[in-house]
Amino acid sequence: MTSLTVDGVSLEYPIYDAEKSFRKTLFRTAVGGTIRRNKDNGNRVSVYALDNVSIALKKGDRLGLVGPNGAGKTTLLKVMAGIYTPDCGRVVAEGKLSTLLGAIIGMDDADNAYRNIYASCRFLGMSNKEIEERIASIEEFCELGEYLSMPLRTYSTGMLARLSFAIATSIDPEILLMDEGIGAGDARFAHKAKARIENFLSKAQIIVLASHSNDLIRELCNRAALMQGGRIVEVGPVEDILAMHERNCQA
Amino acid sequence: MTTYFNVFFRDVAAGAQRWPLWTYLAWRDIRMRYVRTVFGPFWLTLSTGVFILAFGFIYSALFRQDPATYLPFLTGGFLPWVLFSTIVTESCTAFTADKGVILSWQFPYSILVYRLVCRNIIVFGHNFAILLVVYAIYGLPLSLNMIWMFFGLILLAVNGLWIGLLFGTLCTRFRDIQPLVASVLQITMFVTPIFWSPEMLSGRRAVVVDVNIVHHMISIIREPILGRPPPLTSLGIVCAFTAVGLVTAALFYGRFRRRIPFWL
Repeated sequence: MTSLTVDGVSLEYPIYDAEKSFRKTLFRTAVGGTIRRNKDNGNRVSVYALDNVSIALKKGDRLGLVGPNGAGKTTLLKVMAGIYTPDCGRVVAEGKLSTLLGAIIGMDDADNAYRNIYASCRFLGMSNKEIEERIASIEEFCELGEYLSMPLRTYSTGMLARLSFAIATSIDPEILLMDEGIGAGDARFAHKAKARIENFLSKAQIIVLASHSNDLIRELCNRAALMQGGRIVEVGPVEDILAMHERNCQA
Repeated sequence: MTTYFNVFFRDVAAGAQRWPLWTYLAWRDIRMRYVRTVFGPFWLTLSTGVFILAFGFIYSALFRQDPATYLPFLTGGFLPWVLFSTIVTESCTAFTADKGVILSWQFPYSILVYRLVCRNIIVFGHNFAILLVVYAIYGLPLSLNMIWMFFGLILLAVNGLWIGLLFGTLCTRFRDIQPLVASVLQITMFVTPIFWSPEMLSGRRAVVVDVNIVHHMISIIREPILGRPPPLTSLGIVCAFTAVGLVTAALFYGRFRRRIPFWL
């Protein structure tokens, strides 16, 4: 049974840019006392990205995450995906999981798309046989034709979006986590992507979508959660949550 | 502490299982490095080969050595040195170089280190052609003791694994370590008997050789290449060093693995 449970998750981002150098850390330990006190005072900059977030999703749930910039939407998606390990609380995902969190495909943009697709699919844990079976559907779905033999660096953002979407959905995920949905794809592709998501949803799986597009959330989601300052403020029907979010934005 | 070991072993074991992925990536790295060149990966062999021949001919005269013994000695030591030093250098960017993947997928990061070690062993394989050329030039026989070389290579690869995980993590957090490692390696190249044989250094200075772990690591590969069994002392020292390194890396990597995405 597919499910995704986030239970009391908190996550603090340490910010190191201000003190990234080895020299300063040496300095800190060398001077001991005073600086240790500073450390206790919180001189070390950190950001509470998630603050005691809990949510349980079951088969058929399509959750839209809404909230202002920096509310913790992407961080929550990354915690759900297992990319970030939370400081406390736990995430249990039952089902094959796939993510669309950015257009990073196969790690080498000087190489052609086919070999990058191969590397990505391998990364997602597919066997050679599975990759062969899916390559045709990826080719057909992304409609990139001859471009698939060209290096990825020659691709436009939209083309990359097409390709990452095609790869991420090719493994027939049971849980799909998306940040800003289909990104830079054009209208024709957006239509196609929606059709694929709907088909995917007809198998009653789980989707979590973080987006600033209310229309996209209305179209794809059946529940929504409003996030603010690293917390889930409210979970409920899409229209109620969107209305609440809009009121917050105007206030 | 057991949790740290668990995190480490789970990551390393899960990473090993994904060998089709990292061997593929390793080969692709080599291919991509020489994309659009005519000689492809043979540039590796070519440039190393030219260096060894040129250096060998000049220095055999400077050190008043017979080129027929000096060149095999130089090749036998220089190839493992290139392998070792490149693994260490590249370990520093093991994680930072693939920031994108670490921030978009969940996977055992050890995959990136396995790929790095594998890539360098493939390079070593290419470079081995130089040794065969040197052997052919001087008409030297190939000995059965050469098989011991693989044992040394395996030990070096295991060291590569812990060095990659440890330095990869450290350098992600402290960006100063990478240039530090680069300069330490440069000095190491000159204090390690690669261009000169350990016998040339007598008296108290010989300590520099005896305590040099890199010397022992190279010895257990060079000696078999030259047709002699690996020296037992070197073998023992390298095994002990490997064990200590693995434990250190296990504790460190196990403790800080979850921090890596934030440090990137």
